[in-house]
Amino acid sequence: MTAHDVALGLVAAGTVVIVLAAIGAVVAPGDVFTRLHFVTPVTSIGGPLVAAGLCVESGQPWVIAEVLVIALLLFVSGPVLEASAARAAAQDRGIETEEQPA
Amino acid sequence: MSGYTLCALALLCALLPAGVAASRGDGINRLVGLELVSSIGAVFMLVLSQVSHQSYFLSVPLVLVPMSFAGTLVFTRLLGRRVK
Repeated sequence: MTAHDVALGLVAAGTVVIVLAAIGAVVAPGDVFTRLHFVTPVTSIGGPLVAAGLCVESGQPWVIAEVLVIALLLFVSGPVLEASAARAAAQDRGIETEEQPA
Repeated sequence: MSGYTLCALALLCALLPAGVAASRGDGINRLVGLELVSSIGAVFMLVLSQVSHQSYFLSVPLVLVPMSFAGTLVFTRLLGRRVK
């Protein structure tokens, strides 16, 4: 098994996760809180898997650094956005009654 | 057609259900769809840079991810303010 095969396997695995999450976000029954669960696999599993595959395939240091920074930004910003969207949804539906911190 | 091209096409197809999610329901539901679109779009651009062997394509997701982060936070701020 060459590095190319490993890289392609990682990218394909990440792609499968992302495609399934995108389909699940549309077809899964439930409210916005259920739908929020399908964003997490994209940023926390799919993105890092694809980035790892591209790092293995590329081999160029500056490309690896750029891909890793993008994957890290996705990985860190995803949960923050989901928590923020869930809080906004809870406020909109009257579940959360406190104002957001200024 | 290489494996990376197939992955890029699959990610492009994944943008369709994410776009559907971004166009249905109330504002918060659409916001979740928008998060999905921006995340999948960033990963698609990553794979596209590999398919085209143009490393400068990576600048697009590098800008897209922080911009969509800030934009989505603004939207959540505006949509979540209606405290009962």
